[in-house]
Amino acid sequence: MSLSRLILRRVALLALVLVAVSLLTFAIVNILPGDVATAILGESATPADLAALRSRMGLDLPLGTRYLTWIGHMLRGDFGTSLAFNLPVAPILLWRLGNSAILAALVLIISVPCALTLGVVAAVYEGSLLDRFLSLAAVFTFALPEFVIGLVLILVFSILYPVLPGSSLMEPGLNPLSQPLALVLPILVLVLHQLAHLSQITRASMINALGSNYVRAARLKGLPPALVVVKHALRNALAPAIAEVGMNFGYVLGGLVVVETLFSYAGVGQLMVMSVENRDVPTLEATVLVIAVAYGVGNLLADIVSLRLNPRLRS
Amino acid sequence: MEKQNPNSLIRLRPSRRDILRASLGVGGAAALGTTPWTPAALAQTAGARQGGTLRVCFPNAPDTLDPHLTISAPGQQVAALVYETLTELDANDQPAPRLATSWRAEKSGQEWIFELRQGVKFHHGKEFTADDVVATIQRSEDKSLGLRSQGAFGPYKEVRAEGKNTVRIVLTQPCAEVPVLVANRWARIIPADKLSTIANQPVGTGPFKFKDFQPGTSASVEKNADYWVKDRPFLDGVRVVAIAQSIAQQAALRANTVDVLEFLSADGYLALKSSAGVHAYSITVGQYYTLMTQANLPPFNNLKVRNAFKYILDRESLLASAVLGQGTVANDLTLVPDSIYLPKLEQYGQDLNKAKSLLAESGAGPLSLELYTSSERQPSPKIAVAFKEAAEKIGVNITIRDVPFTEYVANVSRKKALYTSQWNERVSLYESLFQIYHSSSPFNYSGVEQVPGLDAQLEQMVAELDLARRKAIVTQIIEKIHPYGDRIIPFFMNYMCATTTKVQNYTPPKHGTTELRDVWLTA
Repeated sequence: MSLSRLILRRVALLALVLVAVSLLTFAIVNILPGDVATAILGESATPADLAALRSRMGLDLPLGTRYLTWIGHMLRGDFGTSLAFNLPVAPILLWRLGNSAILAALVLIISVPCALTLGVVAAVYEGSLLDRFLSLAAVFTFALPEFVIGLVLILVFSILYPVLPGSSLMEPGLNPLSQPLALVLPILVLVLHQLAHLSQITRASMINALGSNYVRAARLKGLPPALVVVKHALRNALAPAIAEVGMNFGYVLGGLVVVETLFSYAGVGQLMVMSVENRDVPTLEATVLVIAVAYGVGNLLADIVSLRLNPRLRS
Repeated sequence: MEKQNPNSLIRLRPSRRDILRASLGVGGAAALGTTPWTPAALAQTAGARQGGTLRVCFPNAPDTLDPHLTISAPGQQVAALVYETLTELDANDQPAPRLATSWRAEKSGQEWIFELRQGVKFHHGKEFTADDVVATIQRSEDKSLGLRSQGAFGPYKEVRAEGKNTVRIVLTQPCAEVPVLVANRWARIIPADKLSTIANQPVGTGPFKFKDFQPGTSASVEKNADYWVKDRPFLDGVRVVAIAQSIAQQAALRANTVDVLEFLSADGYLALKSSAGVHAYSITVGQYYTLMTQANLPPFNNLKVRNAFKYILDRESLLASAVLGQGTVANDLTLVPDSIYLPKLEQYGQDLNKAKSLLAESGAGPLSLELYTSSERQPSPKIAVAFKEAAEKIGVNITIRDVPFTEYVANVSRKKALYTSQWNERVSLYESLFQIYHSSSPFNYSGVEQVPGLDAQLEQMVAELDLARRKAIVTQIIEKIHPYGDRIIPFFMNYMCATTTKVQNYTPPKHGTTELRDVWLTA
């Protein structure tokens, strides 16, 4: 299949996925007990107050009507109004999307090369003390939830040895990059998790490649060991690792939910958690869709890179 | 258990006699007339530094900017900076002049007349007049809007402007406490010409002007240079931010990322209390956690069962475990801990034999109940667990159901028989007794007269202007509520907060929001 056809097919599929995701999100939020009116007015609200607020927000209309109205606006590029904040969703979401993108991009930029290097080193020295240490560290880190790693990092670097801020509060209108120190801990949490996972994948596929006949042939040809590892083994071992990066893209986005909440980082993950708590359907729908698009595009990019690396996959 | 820590403020309770005197317009307020009112804290602020932005951190972010709708503590804090109320409560919870300079009752307290301060301007330049008070109250009471501020001005009937600076509030029944009520968090005055935009663009008369709002993250206000109190505020601005985790809050305060931590958890307070560069506070307030035994649902529609359940909890040990001792043991009464209205009463403690025999007398048979709570509202689940363990010793089978808070709001409160709940301090008798127990009141979750004759006594109490007679009525009411009321209140939880030592003239809030007009920052 040609590259352009693949991209077209994937984009069409993504559109379908988005419709499904939006329907599902809408359905789930409406099945959950409580709605935005109960979230806004709280425990002591009277049934009459709730009814008044619901009718003011149009929540008394049938579900189908509400969904169709919402999707109609969405198709025209109108993300709607947040029911909880009583403000347009688009600017809230865009600002946070930018913040999350910076976080995710930095995590990938740091973790991918590091993980590949660690994986290659572990594979080359398979069975050595270093390899066993790396494996153990990876399993340990991966077994701990991000939330726990985050708490431990805050405890160590913000309280016991206060060298880094334990929260990433941002001045309104400022780019997160203007406070690089505040990014260190959230990035570290996500990078550690990524490293653990990705380095082990790379290690496994490198060991496979290093044991293959073509690598043995290259070695017997008398090529320098470094060249054999990088040019012959790594190039073939990369495809599964890159595919994993694509899959992991979704994982990073999931990690954002936890890390942003823990470090009070104003991103889409935090917005999603709040929208669920507030039963704020328009904001949640927009957030979920944006994350779904990011996930779809991330996977597509990973596939394209894999295809470029390995022509056999193109047939 | 730690009773009184060195940092805690000793709470001075109001003399209700003074409240009554002031509220009837006999007291100092009226005497002040239109002379500029001097803040009590003025003496302490000699040498105060101008400038700086105070960063105040809450566990959650402001929910909405609408002062009549916000239920989150940070949202109310922002409203308290931007808006003002007709009166404010002083250190003794007495009403003091703010936007109103004096007030008096007519028709035995069924009508109240407020004289308004002159020369006050809203942030957009409009002069503050009686029309603004009328518009505020009418908006609050507009049932079609479903605002949280309904009922904030007492048993409201109508409101009229009488000239430019006088307002008359007419009630459906006499109410002695209107001057206290109008100081409450829902009674903030908005400008009459901004009703359509006020929900998103706050404009008030307060010491700070609205600057920006990042939904879910922060809200900022800046100094109102034309504020009616001379030389106030000191700060250039205030930023309200949110950090959810206790440990991250502590880190932020220590690193000077924030200046004030409001609504600290007990563990956060204990961790910060002896830290260098930090002032930590734990003060007695009337906020409480409760087990609701819904009086309209079985088995609690049986008075004896409600009475029996009051002997189950070991309150002392629950106070120590649930809030690490930062509170006061309570006696199932909704009045503030040291209210002058409290008669001598038996203090409830754990008495399982008595509970068992009362249950046997009740004829309710063996009980197997579901107890609802929400982990999103700590430490409620700890109360639930302690109750379950004790109740099972007398054969009452309890299953704990931990539900998300939104589900709790939708399906549990008012609807299930047994659940945990939490309540803010309510200063007046109107709020702490009438609104909680009268069968017509929205905060009586059972929606029934819990003890025969209670409604009539509550109505009588609200209308009674004479302190001695009122106290006698309150005693009769409490004698009914103490054994049979639907709330098991094991303890009052202290209000805890902390600031860096840079923050000067800070007073921990007794009623939820902090007055930052007099606060300043050292360089």
